[in-house]
Formats: sequence, C-alpha cells, structure tokens
Amino acid sequence: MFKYVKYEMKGTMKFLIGAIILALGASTGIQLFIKREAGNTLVGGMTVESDIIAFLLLVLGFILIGSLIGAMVYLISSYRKELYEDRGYLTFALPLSGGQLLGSKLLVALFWGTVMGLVIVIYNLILVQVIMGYNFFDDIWSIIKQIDNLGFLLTGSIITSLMESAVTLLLVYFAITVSRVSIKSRKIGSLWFLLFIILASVITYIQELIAKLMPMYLDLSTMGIIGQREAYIMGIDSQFGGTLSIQGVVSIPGLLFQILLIVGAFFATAYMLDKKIDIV
Amino acid sequence: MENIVEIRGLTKRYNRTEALKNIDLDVEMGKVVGILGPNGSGKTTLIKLLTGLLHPNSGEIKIDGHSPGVHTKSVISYLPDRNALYSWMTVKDALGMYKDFYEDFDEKKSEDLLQFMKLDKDMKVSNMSKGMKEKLNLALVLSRKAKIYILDEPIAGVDPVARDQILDAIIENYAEDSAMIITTHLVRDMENIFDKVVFLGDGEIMLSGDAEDLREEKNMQIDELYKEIFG
Repeated sequence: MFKYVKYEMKGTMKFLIGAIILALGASTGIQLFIKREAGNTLVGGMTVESDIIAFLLLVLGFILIGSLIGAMVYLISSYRKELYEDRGYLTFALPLSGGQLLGSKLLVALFWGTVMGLVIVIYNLILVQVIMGYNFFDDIWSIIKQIDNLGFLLTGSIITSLMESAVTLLLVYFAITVSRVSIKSRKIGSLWFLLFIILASVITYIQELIAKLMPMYLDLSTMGIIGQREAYIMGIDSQFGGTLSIQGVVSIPGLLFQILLIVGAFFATAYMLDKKIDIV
Repeated sequence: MENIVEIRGLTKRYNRTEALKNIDLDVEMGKVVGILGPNGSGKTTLIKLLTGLLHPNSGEIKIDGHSPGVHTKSVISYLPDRNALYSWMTVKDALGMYKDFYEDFDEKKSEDLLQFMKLDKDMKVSNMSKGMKEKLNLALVLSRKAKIYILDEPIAGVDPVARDQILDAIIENYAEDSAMIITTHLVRDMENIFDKVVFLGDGEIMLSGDAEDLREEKNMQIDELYKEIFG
C-alpha cells in the first residue's frame, strides 16, 4: 500500500504545496493590510484592540477553512478521476487490492489536511506576533497550563479529529463509488454529492439519537467515564455525538458508532473497487 | 504446453448490449495469440476482463490458475489502448512506478528499450506526442519478465516509423517462457507474429485456430481471411 502512497503523494504535492503557499501569502497580505488600516488603534505598536484580534481570528478561520475545503475538493476529485478517467487503466491494472488503493487515498488526504491546517495556523500565529506584536502563544500557554492530563486530552483530540475526517472522507469515497457502480454516465454520476449529503444527514441524526439514548461519556482529561448527571453539570449537550466537545469529552456510543462507520464504509467501498467497478 | 489463460462461458453486457457472448478460449504458454476483429467486436472488452478492469456477467476466467485479482495483475504486463500514465509523471517516474510495483521489472532492459525508442528519461508524459506515449508504454510493458503480455491495439494510430519500431520491439523482446495476447484490426502488419488467431465479431468467436494451419487450410493469408470473414 505504501508504494501507492508514494505516487499519490508525488501526484498531489505540487498542487497542495502551491495551495499552502497561496494561503500563507494571503495571510501575510491580509495581516499587513489590517495592521496598516488599524495602525492608529495600536498602542505603542505593542498591543492590539480586542476587536482587531477577533477580526484577525475570523480572517484566519476563513483562510484555514477555505484552504482545507480547496485541498479536499482536489483530493476527492483525484479519487473520482481514478474511476472516470484514463488514469484508471493504470491504477486498476496495478497489483493492488481495493482496500490498499482506498487506504492510500485516505492516508494521503488525512496527511495533507493535517499538514495544511498546522502550517497555516502556526504561520499565522507567528505572523500576528511579528506584524502586530501580539503574542497568541502566551494565551495558548496560559490555557494549556490550566489543563490536567494534557497528554490524554491532546492525543484524544487528535484521534477524534482524525476519525471525524476519516468518516467524512470515507462517506465521500463511498458515495462516489456507489454512483460509479450504479450510474455509468459521468454527468449523472455527479449526483454522488447528493448521496453524500443524504448519508451524512442520516448518520448525524443516528449518532445524535444514540448519544441521547445512551448518555455515557469519556472525559479525555481524566480518561474517566461520566454519566448523564455529571454530563448535565458539565453542560454537555445531550444531543452531542461522537466528536470531541468543547469540554473535552466524547460520547462513548457515538465513538463506537463512528468506528463502526469507518470500518463499514471502508470495507464496502474496497469491496466495490475490487468486484464491482468497471473501468470503461 | 500448459494453458496460462482459460476462459469458459464468458459473457459481458453493457446495460442491455451483449459485448461478449459465451466465449471459450485457451491460451497456451509460449504462444502469441492475435485477437482480430473490427471496431466494436469485443476485443477490448475481452482484454479488460482479463486484466481485471471489467467484471464478467457470467462465465469464468483463470489466469495462471487464479481468477482476475491482485495475483493475476502481478503476472500480466498490460498495454492499454490509450495512454494511462499520470499526466504529472516524467519517464523516470513511470520507470520508478513499474520498478516499485512489479518484481519482474528489468531495469537494464528498460534502459535499452528507451534508447531504442529514442526516449529521454526527463521528458514529461504530458508533453509527449501520441506516438511517443505509445512507445513509452510499450517500453514499460516489455521491460517486465511477465508470464503473460496483453497488448491492446499496439500499433493503432501511430505513424509508419513508430509502427515499425513498435513491431521490432515486440518481436525482439518476446520471451518464449511467456504468452502474448495482441488485439488488432491492422492484420496485415501483424499477422506474421501470431501463432494462433481468434476472429472476434459481434462478441462471438467466428473462427479460431493455429495461424499456419488456417493459412494452409484456407489457402490464403490471415489478412485475406479477415476480409472474407468481416468484409
């Protein structure tokens, strides 16, 4: 599988590094613009008004989300091209199982998503310090200092975020593959997006229902299980499903449902790639 | 000689159109088999079923004793009827990919073939002409020491010079301890290569047999026989 990861990385690298550079360039331009426009609100060039910080965070959020969406659209279209374009003649003739192909695509997409997110966030935090003279790292550090068992929380957060991304990507791959198997026309095959929206909505509904019916949570900061009463005291939304909540807890049934989804979507898609996809 | 390919009752449909109808075919080790037929006769469908790109509606395919899958893909060296190399690739990347995925890839042979085809390793696939892409794909396919070579229309749409180069490369690099299946409708250019020919029309085998026996029996060249069957 890692042999194919190597070529998937090579094939996507140029576009995605370009996208990262573009996002960093846009961040720099926007921060310089804000600094110039808001120059008179700076006190001694060392502190920044809170509304400017809020605006900066908003802009950073837009750049981050925009870049991640752009990257995912590109990576998803790379999967779709395997099923609809001539390159599929090479990919599907390689001695690779459907699972290996799918696993490679998934790993590369998760890798780029993580790299892109980290690079853009860290670059912008440094940039705020350099351009605005405001140290976000101090704020982050003061929050971190208050957290017990940071290791658990950090590991748990990374795992749950990756799981959430994996579920979304696998649902997209599943929807594209089902569309390809059942509809031969490329144009009508674009309806995979509709199928994805329906699947994602149904799954979110089920996940929330499960969380509501079985209110059992895992507190990542203590790795302890908490029930409905403690959850209520902590202010956890009873509809809350498998992902990490702001309080650092995950719904245990929601998490199990998410694991089942990952396994199910992966094997169903891999099976279709092996046994059902016709490269025509 | 043992059969490297065994096909029984193979049928493939695209919606309601039957592209292949109940085909039976054996390919012996050490033989070059020509699948001959006009456009739309089912040649490419048959090849794609063998390479695992398509899945049959009914019937059975055994290649090296296995149904099409990861194992058969590792023993088949396949030249598709179009360029499938990724557009971002250079010749060097394509060689690297074949070397990574196929244990039987012979690097020395690939160097020789690239030199013979006059292809530069730093060339980008997307900047190549159709003939150059065809030659590169063929060089990659013939650089393997595979059990079975499957070439789909290897000389279609290329200029006469490239055509001669491709034919020479096929003849010179064919190994006796393997089998080769070639589809074509350009019979005159290729008929001397074939040990066995299969005439495929409308998804059915119209005639098949040893090429030399058919020439003697029908008292005509394979090209003339082709015209008689499909003319």
